[in-house]
Amino acid sequence: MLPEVVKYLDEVRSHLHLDALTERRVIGELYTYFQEKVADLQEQGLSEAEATKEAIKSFGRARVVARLMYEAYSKGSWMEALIAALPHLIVAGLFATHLWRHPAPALGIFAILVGVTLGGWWHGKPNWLYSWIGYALLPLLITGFITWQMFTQAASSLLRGQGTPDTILSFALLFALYTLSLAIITSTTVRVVKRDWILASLMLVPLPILGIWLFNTERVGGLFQAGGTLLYQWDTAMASVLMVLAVATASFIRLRQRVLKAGALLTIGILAGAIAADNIWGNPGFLGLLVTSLLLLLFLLSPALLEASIGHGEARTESWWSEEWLEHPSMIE
Amino acid sequence: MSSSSPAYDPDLLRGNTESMLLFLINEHHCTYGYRLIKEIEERSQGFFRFKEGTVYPALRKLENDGLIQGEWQRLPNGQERRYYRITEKGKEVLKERIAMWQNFTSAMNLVFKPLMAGEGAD
Repeated sequence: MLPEVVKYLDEVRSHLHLDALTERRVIGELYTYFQEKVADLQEQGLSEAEATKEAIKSFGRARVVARLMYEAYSKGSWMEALIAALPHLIVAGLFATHLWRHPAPALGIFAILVGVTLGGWWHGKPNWLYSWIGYALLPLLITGFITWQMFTQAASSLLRGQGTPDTILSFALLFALYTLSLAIITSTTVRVVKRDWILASLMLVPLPILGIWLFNTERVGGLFQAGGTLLYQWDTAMASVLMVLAVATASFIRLRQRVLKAGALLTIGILAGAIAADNIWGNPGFLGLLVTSLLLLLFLLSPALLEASIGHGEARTESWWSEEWLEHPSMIE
Repeated sequence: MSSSSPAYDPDLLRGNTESMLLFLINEHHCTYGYRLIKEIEERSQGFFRFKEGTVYPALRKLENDGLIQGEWQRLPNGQERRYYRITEKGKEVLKERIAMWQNFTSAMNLVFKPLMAGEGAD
């Protein structure tokens, strides 16, 4: 295969934002086009280099082809939209029924969220998976939040010279747990960003809302305080906001164009976060809402910034472009 | 017939590419992307000029909508190529699109009849 065609196909691939198997299938089909087109043009008397140049020219700009291909693949079915909206609805249900403070149903629900996420992750990472990953990361976020508090307490004990072997051991364990939680969240985010930053934003969109709520629970005694009915005061607002996110997620799956997907996600993510902040903090004022909205926008766009620095998709290895799979794309189905 | 810039509104072609592909796939029973591109170019005598890379997303969309079905087939030289066949749903949709197109062009011809009669008189 000529390097110009590989370079062109790699540019198409880098803008596809599809899962690895679909990308290979798409590139495999386009590869057969170039083989036939170049051979045809050579029969007409062009040199290999001229034929390749002409074939690339007649195929169109790589970015445009990638965008059209993305739009052809990206629209999910109504069933996929419903499955993608489901984790928001489930957690909204937990808030609406106040069941989130009861260990059995809460742990059961999170076990389901994590189970479905792992199942989807190991079975082709379909588009509906990413809203589930966000909630599957929630226990890690809570663990990180709690262990950080305990870690700072243990650290201050050590600094005051009150360190016993138990304190030192718990300090080390908490640090390891905190680091592990952060490492899992970060590596998951990076892997999703390599697929598509929009999907990473979809994954992260409930986290600031739940984060606002989580930090605020500290103001009334903490998440695990006994008998704290004060903690229920934000449940209706949280359930409503998560229902809005469910609708936004379903729309995201059904939309074809990337710009519309990103627009819907950013607008509703920021609105939902601002509504949550307004309800939970109790009238933070225009400036407070503006700052919250800007921080939310920055947070939801952070995967795009990350993608700009780490790039998209797998590394351009020679095996990815091997003639074997390029000529036998059915091997990858 | 071919020229450097198309002698028609490109949106007209974009809006009808899928119908043309569906028609040709139905006619050939089983065909592939590059052959379809060549067929459109030959049948239109080079009139339809479009970026060939736009055909593959259109094929994928037809496949997504259940109008065609694609499958990889191994060629005698060992290489594989993706072939497309029309589905029953595709045949129904094609019938509707052909009828719609015929009605549309008939109506357009009726509207333009005085102009065309004038040209004939010239």
